Parts: sequence; C-alpha cells; structure tokens
Amino acid sequence: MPHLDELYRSARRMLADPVRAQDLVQEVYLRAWRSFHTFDGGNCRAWLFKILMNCVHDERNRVRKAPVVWESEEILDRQEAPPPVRVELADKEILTALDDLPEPYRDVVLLADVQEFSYKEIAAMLDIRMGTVMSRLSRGRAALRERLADQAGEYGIGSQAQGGPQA
Amino acid sequence: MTVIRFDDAVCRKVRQQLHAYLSNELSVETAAEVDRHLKSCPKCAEELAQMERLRTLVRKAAESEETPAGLRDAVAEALGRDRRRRSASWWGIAAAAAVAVLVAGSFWTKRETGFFPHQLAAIHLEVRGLVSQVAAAYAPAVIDHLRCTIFGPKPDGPVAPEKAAMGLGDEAPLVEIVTTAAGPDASLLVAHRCTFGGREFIHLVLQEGENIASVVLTKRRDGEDLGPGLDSAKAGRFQIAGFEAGDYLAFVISDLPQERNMELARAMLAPVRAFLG
Repeated sequence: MPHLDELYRSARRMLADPVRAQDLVQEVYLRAWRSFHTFDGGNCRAWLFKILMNCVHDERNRVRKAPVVWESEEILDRQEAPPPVRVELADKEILTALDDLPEPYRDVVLLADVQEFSYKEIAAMLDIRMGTVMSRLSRGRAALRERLADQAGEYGIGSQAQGGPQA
Repeated sequence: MTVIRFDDAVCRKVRQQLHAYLSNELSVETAAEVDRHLKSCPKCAEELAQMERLRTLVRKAAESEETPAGLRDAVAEALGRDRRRRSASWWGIAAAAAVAVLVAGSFWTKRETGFFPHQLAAIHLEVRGLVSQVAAAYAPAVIDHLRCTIFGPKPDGPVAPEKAAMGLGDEAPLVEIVTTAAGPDASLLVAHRCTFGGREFIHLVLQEGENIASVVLTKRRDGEDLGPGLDSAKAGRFQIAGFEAGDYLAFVISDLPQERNMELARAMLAPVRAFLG
C-alpha cells in the first residue's frame, strides 16, 4: 500500500487531527474501492488524491463551525522582501506554521510542494482554475515564511542573524 | 522585517515568476529567461535559494509524520468487510474470484506500482495469474469483464434494447446481433462503452441463469493476433473465446461451461464480422 503514508500525512495536516485523519484515509480507500469503475487506468496516485480532497472537503463541511479564514490579501501582496528562511528550523516549527495556514493555502502547499503534483493535477483535484492554484501557492508559501519568521521573533531568535544578503 | 522595494522592473517580474519556476511550471522559453536573469542577479538567485530551502524543509517536516501502526490493518479490514458485503449482494458469482482488477491498474498501466492493501495482494496475484494464463491478446477482455462486472454500477435488471442501443452509439446494431446469438435464455444487462488503460471497449453483459457473460470488443493492436478462426482460452474459472473482426478483437468471456461459452462466440462470429469487417 505505497500511497497510504502519503494519504495519511496529507490528511493529518489538512484536518490537523490524527484520529480524524485515520478515519478519513479509511474512507478514501472505501470510496476508491466502490468507485473503481470510474478509474480510467491513468495516474492512480492522482486519482486517490482527488478522492482524498473530496473526503477532506466533506469532512470539513461536516464539522465546520467558523467560516474559512482567508489571509488578508493586502498583507500578502505587499512588495516586501519575504523574511529569510532560517537554516536550523525544526520539523515541529514547520508543522506548527503549516497547521496555522488557512486551509486553501495549506492544501495547495501540501499538494504542490510535498506531493509534487502539477498545477493542472491540483486544479482538477480541487475543482479550481490553474490561476487559482498558482496564486494560492505563492500566497501560501509567502504566508508560511511570515509565520516562521514570527515564530522566531516569539522565541527570541533574530531572523536576520542567519539571513541571506537581503539588505 | 526588512522592507525592500524592487524598483527594477525585471527583478519584479522575475519574482512573480519564481513560484512557477520552482514548481517547474514555466514554459521552456520563460524558464530560460528566468535562468538568464538569475545568473546575473544575486538577489533574485538568493530569493530562489530561500524558496527552495523552505520547500525542502516543508517536505522533510511533512514526511517526519509517522503513519499510525494500526492504520494499514484497519484499512485492509474495512475493505475486506466491504468486499464481502458487496460480493454477497451483487454480481456475486463473478465477484468471488475476481475482485482483483482493483490492482490490475498497477500492472495494466505499468506506471504505477501497488495500490491496495496487502490483504488484497493475494487477489491481485490471482488476476495476474488469470491474465498470465492467457495470451496477451486476451488480457484486455479479462480485465474489462472483471472491472465492469465487479465495480460497475449495479443494473436494475435487463436493459431495454433501445436504451442499450443508445449506450453503444454507432455500434448499436451489436445489441441485436448479440442478443439474437445468445438466444432467449440470456438477458442483456449492460451495453456500454468503457475505457481502461487508455483503451476503449464496447462491452455487453449477459446473464444466463446464474452465470454472467461479457461480450467485449476492442480495436486490435500490433501483435494481438487470434488467427483466422475462433480461438479459446481458460483463465481460472473463466472461459474465453475470441476472434478477429475487421479492426477489432471480439471476445466472449464468462463463467459458463466451456461448450456454452464457445457456442455463444460461434453464433456471434459471422454476424459480428459482417458488421465490423
């Protein structure tokens, strides 16, 4: 079951809950199993992730209490140099920052940067346009860097200390 | 935070393209332009390096998450339960031996490896086994039969001839050819076009008593030869008979007795060839 780990890890980040993520992965395989006649024999991994995204969508709707929080575009579109990425970032710090991203950005960052799907594949999975994939990805990456820099500030780590030649 | 304004129009443009550049989504020409700029602009090159570093770190962090030990078994068990329930309720006869098509995707396209849980691996091997027992030309028919009869939507009962004809489009006359050849004891359950592994099929499913029979037609490819007459093979409990008809290969595959399966194919041979030839 080579895709199980990838599906679980993605579900785990997307739902930010290990127990729900496990249930969701079971649901993905059941749906895949039941709708196998819709599989066209192409890319099986992308097909499974498309089912995953449908399940994630349903699950979020089921438990959703608050509306989705989108990042203020004003902040994200400013023409500033993004903060440098520290060298010594721990996995934990990254995961915390990732979990803190608004869902639409987090999903696209996970699908593009971790799972390495193409914009086209992601657009099909999420039923959005390629342009939307592109803008969510660039905003997601930028927002992630901001958060990691903010965390460094909270921990008293100078974000400029290890920074590149940004000045 | 350091605030920098990129007054250089080229830098500003390149910065906007870096995300797509990093994801390898730029056209060859645009990527080459970005490459040229990066060689001459240390600031933009450093920005790309930062982005790459972040992506590497995110990937590493995401992959540090361990899959819970029991999940694999839980999924396998849930699928097993569902499979038993489904095989009992629907297409029961065909299902018993054949669920494996599920994994057939993996060997069919040859691009993917593995698919469903290890408990299904045994069944995977079974279909692999089934297919390995027959000449390559038969493999598509075996797979298409299993796939549609196990995983296809459950038919409500016999399909009306007009509706069946609609499902086949230009090849609608096959409905009459097949039902006439099959005789009054068989009823037509499905007539549709299906696609698998980039290959198109015309697929009719008949029920005769407790047995399910598929008539599968697909365009012939190089190296797929059945010879001039009626050829037959056996894969596990399935009987297969096949013949060439014009550009097509035609198969009858079923769990009927061998003589009956051959009889069906023999009755269809001439009219199908006349229609497709």
